[in-house]
Amino acid sequence: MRVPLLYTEKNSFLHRRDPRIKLLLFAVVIIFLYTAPNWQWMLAASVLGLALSIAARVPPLVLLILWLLQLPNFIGLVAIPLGQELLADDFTPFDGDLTFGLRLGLAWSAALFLSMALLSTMSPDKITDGMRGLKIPEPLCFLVGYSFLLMYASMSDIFRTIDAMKLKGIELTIRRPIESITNMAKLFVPAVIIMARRAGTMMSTLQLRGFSFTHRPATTLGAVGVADVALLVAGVGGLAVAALVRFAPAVLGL
Amino acid sequence: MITAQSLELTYPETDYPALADVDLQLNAGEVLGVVGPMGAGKTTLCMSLAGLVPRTTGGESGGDLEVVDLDPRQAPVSEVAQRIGLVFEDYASQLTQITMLSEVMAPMLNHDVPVKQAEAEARRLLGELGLAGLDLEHKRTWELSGGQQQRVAIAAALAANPQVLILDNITGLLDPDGKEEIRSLVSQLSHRMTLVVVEQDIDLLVGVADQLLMLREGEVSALGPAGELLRDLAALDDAQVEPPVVVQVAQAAGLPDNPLTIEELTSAVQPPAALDPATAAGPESMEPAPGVQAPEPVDRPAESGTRPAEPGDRPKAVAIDGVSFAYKDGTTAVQDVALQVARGEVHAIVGGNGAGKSTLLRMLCGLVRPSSGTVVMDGQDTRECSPAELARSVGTALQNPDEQITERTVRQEIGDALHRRRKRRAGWFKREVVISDEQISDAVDRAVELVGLPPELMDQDPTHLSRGHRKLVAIAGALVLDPAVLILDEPRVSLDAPARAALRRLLHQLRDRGTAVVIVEHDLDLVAETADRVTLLDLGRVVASGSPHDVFGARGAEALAKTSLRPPRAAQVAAPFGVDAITVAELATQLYPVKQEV
Repeated sequence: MRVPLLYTEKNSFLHRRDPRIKLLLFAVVIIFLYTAPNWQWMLAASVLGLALSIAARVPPLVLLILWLLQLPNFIGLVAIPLGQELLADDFTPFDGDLTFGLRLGLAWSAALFLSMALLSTMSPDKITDGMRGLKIPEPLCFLVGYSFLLMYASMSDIFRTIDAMKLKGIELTIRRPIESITNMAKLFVPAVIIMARRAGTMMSTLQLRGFSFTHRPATTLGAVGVADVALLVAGVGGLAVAALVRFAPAVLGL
Repeated sequence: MITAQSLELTYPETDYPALADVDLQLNAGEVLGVVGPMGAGKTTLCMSLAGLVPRTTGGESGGDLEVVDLDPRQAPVSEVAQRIGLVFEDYASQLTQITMLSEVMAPMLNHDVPVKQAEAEARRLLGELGLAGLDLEHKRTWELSGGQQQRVAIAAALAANPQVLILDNITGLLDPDGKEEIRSLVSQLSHRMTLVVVEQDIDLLVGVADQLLMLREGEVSALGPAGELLRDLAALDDAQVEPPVVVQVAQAAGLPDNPLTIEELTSAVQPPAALDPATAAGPESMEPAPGVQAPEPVDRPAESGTRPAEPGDRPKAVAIDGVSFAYKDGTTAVQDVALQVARGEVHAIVGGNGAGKSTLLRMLCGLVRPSSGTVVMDGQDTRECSPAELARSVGTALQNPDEQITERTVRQEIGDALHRRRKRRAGWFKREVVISDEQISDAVDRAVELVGLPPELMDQDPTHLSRGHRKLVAIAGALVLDPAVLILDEPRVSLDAPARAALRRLLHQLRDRGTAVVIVEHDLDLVAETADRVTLLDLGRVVASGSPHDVFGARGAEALAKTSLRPPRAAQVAAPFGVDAITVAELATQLYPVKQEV
């Protein structure tokens, strides 16, 4: 079984953008999520994020599965309070401001789609190189890159262990969900042992390969192009307008 | 270059040393071969020389150690890293980057080599190790086969350009071509760096190692010139190491001296065709030398040299018919494979790295369903049952035993399959015992005896055992249900000489018991000695099948030459004599010592 990757290996407009710009845009997205004035802005960001994800050629099924995974958040933040307001007049979640819940609920979708559009177009090497290009301290760059490796390697281990458990006669199939969930505990020992064994060898290998965690040149960065700058300007501009709409009335006393 | 005096190491929470009183001296450019049984302290020695123990493991180290003018236990890691390289046996855990190219570039970038220069050097190294055909920039390290991962790790260790390179049992997962490449690489490297090579496959050290260190229970059992020790049967036996194949042939043929190379053997023996009564000692002198044990005879249903008895009317335990498998991206892994395995037959599936063996194995145990064709195991079509259901009659021991071990003691681990089937539902709220504790205990004892696992290990935690012992535990666990079919994936990797002998005995016993055994293996020596039939795969297709002689002997030479496999070592030794033999025992019966002039 192949390990599912965050990175989609395609050649879209977003794939071709400089990783430093995409990381800066990612920071802009995070600030935007706290700055967006109302749920309409968040809805617009969600739609934009979805469009960009599709443009980045993220498989629609992946987007749907990820969106369904955060659906409980949406229901908890919006649908349940809304339903209770309709049924019981005296219940006032979020101090009676249901649009706050709606903004929060849509923020999850916006974060998901925009993050996928940006992060799925960068390989882990490009992400860490982008971080190095932005002069982020090397230990943090290494940590991010190594986390990706460990995550994928561990997932690969777990898939192999699941297969090995099946060969020991342990049912781990969707056809028998309850038995399979009970048997998942059996994965714990081999998965932990494999990871523990890996840890010692990995630490030794890192030392002998000369990882000093102080300095490392970026290997994949080129020059920032016009399209990169334009994309960053658009993102920062959007954030600025959102901030103005939200904070200008209060600041200017309007 | 390397000096150790009274080197000792004791790991935390143990009351016995893993290394004790080790003395050795190695000059620049020399190659030290290290051999010994499982748990002898070989890996601990490697890690000590690289300064990793006790630095990363804890414990106490004593004695004097100097490697490239520094004590690696005390020196800063950055200095050690610039002088000493180490490639571990655990191939997967030593990969630190996402892609192959970045893995090999990383050590150079860490040492401030310019990016373009690092990339060019990385490509050169990967090419030198036979990986140039892969997509170096995009292929992820965890998606590589074990053999490919090992080659990438070697390239990454070489990238740091160390003065001392330590190779800890790195060829176990490589196919014969890969092993030969490593042997050739070691020969080349020995001109520009000092090498410490730990090997289970002692033939790889012949002609390569200058000195040989034999370890046993953490102590030096012998140390000296490799050319002498490799033919010293008493020393090899003491270290529980199988002699090189030429030495085995010489002993089995009753030669008074022990030639080490084919050239030396050529001058000492001659084949029957060249037999001249005036110069040959003749068959009467073929008794092994006193105190020397001849190799175990090949005990197959039919005489070697002719086709073995067809499975004939014996019932089929495995039937594969027109099986193909392609991944979602369209890559074809297996194409139109057909084979049958009868009860009591040992059937080997062989091929180089990437030949399709692993995919076929996954189809045999039900983990992968064929894109087309059928796989029937003990009467069950794998498309119609889950792998867990199939496991009741098909036992499988995987290449990596750690993926299968879940229990806290060896006894519990081996009996796990029976424990889980101990009770069965007998109504809505009732379960009845169908396998008693006594029956489980007996079955475990039988399985342990079959695989030759030391009884004193039974109450130990299996995860704390050596890799070879963990492998035997996994095989015993697969046998405990007395399966109709046993599948062994690369069973010989990590096993020492006694365990390999136990494996050979196990295969003979399983044949006698009527168990169908499928071995997926690229160690052709084991296959030649134990298999009844062989299927040779290349690029997912069957390119030859039949008896070991059909595939590995003169008849199969053409098909074999097209793959990355080489004939069994005995066949390679036999070739210059024009003898069609594939095992030591066969070859020994066809070579006659040349009479010495008095």
